[in-house]
Amino acid sequence: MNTLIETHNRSSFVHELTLDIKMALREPSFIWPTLAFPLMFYVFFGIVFSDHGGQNSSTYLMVSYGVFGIMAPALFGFGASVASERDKGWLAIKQISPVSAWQYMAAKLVNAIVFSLVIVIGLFTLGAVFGDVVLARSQWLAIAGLMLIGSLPFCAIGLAIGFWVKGKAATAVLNLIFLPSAFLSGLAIPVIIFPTWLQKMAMALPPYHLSQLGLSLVDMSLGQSIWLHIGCLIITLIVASFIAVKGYHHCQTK
Amino acid sequence: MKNTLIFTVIIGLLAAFFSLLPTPAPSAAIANKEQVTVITGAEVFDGHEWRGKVDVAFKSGMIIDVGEQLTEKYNDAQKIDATGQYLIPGLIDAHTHAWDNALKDAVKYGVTTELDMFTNTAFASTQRAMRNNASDDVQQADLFSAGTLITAPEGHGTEYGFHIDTIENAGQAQDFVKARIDEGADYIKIVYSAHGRHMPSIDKATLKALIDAAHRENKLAVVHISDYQSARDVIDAGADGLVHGFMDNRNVDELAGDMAKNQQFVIPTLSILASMVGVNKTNELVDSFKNVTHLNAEQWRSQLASLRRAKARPQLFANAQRHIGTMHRAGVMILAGSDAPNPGTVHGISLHSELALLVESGLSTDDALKAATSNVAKAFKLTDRGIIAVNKRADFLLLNGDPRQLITNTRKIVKVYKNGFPIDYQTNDSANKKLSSMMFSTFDNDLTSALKTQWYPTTDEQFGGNSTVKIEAANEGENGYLHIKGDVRRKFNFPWAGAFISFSKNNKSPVDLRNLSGVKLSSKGTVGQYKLMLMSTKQAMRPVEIPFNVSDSWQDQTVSFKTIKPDLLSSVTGMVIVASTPINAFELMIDNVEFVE
Repeated sequence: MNTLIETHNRSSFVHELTLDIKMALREPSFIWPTLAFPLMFYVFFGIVFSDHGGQNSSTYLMVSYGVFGIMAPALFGFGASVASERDKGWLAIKQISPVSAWQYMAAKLVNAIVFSLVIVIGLFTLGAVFGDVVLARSQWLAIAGLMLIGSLPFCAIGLAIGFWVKGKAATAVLNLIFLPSAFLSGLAIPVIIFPTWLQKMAMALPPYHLSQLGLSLVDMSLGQSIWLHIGCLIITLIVASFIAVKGYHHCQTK
Repeated sequence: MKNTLIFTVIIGLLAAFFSLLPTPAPSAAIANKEQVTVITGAEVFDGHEWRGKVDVAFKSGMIIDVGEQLTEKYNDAQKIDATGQYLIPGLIDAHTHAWDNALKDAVKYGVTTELDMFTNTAFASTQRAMRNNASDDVQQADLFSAGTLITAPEGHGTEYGFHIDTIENAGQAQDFVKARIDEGADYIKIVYSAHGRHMPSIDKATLKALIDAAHRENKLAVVHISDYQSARDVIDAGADGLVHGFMDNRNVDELAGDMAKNQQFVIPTLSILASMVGVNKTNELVDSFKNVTHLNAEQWRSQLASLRRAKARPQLFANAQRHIGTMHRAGVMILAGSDAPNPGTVHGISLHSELALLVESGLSTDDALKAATSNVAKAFKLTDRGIIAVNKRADFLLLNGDPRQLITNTRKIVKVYKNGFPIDYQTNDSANKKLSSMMFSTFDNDLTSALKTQWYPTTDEQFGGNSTVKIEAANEGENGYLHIKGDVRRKFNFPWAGAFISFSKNNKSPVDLRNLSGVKLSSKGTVGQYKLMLMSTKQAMRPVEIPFNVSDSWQDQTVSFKTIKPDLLSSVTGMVIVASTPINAFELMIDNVEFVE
């Protein structure tokens, strides 16, 4: 009996995940900005126009665009899709379907991680082939691992917004968060050349801390304690998750 | 089942992807130092003569065998095929001044040992342990050093801005030499001038007493001279060698005969003499390294420019070269030394120039090679290096050209081995981080800069001076500024007091300021001229100084970098703002220090 339920559960999770991935793939407005933008930016700024920075800048930007890259599927994959599913009444149906709440979340999470992985692989390929990036095996793996785990706080932020903001507005709100926070965090231009007040602002943003963690793996961080960065990301995760859970109950009760 | 399959395939593909990503080549090809390595196929110059194509086997930093078909004798040895290449002993530069990165720079160009003729004794003592471990992968040249030099009060050697003990009469000689040996001197270096025209010198009696004292302690005594008469006195006093040539228009036949008879050697340092009279070999030297892709002599071009730019006096240099020719024919042992890093010379690179200048002076190519290998080892009693033989250091160079054909072929370096480990060019050549325009310090909260480093007080106390200073971030908040209050006193020759900031946490990672045009700052304080100084690793003894004026009311100004050589700006570790003479008690307020492009 137990086995039956578990099989049933697992297959419904796999179904949910497949469904989620298929839905994402059929949504060009999601795919293009998510997959193509980080790679395209990296080609422009990390490879084609990085004449004076050389190998150092292609390594630096591979990490910072990696953060930029994983933010999009985490924020939009969670935020926008949850909001639109909620708008369309899908969420309500799913809440009463055999798919449990955690499976619904887990499918979205795995979906975001799969997309992140694709972006990381794309960036690594570009960096290695065209940017002359050379790193120890452990560094390559650590950066990839960090990017995947590091997408969690952004998933939580996306989710929080998805549960609280209406469908169309959610995309706009996410865009308002995504692009400015990415640029202010020094993902496109290193934070070190910002004026001081802007540098202080960057320190309040989660992408800054994730990119500093990544850069510390290649000895290019600003040298702050990694625990500061880890701490800030964990706090973001906890606060955003709390808001998301509240939002989920809020949707249920409505 | 199907899902498991898909999952396995994905994991497999991921593993394949990560295993294909580029990783750095292992820095040392020889992982295990107990492993025997055999170099085969190279034409070998053993320090004395060319031996033809022989194999050289080494392990744990020492050569264990030289001969034919060694790969059969050591059948599990790692083999390095050097067919078509030329193997010569690691070069020994017999006259340098070493500090900072000198030894790391030198080894890249094949100089595996430096004989230092005057440096900080603390630096020399930190290097001694390294040279004693033959089996370590040190990635730098070994150092033997005279420690400090021996000179008269106010004599040559006292002008570099740090205190050294000086000697006044012959009676002090024995104790003085003993003190140098206790400090760790490997040999004794004395400064002597028969005329004392430019700076005071010890007298002849003191010279003789110092040389005798050194010999009683079983140490070599070598002497800095710059003219014929001084050389004559030094030779008569029984020194072991002269550490410079000289440029007077004199007949040196008799001197050369005496030197040969007494087995006294000379280190002509033609490189620095050429630089002093404006005979510039920079372009030729830099160009000859152009085809060696892993070496970048270009970065040293500005330092290699000669000391004297106007009115070159090639006749004087021709005299010096003629004297060396005469001495060589008389049988005097000639040693190659560059006097790096004096203006016009660079560690490592300049020894290749010196070899060519020696050949121009009348030495054969083999004699020139000996001057930088076996001769130095013999003269300075370095028993474990300078030749390719069993129980000698595995220090050698592989060249792509035959130095017998052309001495400049020593510049065609394929690989340098120090203690049997290949020199790793990649890690040594990493570029410094470029700084762009930014607000560097506002002092609104504290003394922390945008680079997260702190301003610290600095004075000449570290060199025995007695200047004092206090610094603080005054007026917290938006109107904060750096308040420096101090007193510049005259106990030290170049007194200073002020504030210092490093551009990196450990003060070890230099930054590249070539993008910047200067430092913009607001200042106010005791009226006078102050200095902004940059510490460049390319000129470690003395910071680069830029004067700026301060008035008694707040004013903004940009302290410009335009007078500073780009080469020096490419590697800056920190910055200093100080009061110097003739200001005594002073108060200086600095605000909004900004890097501008």
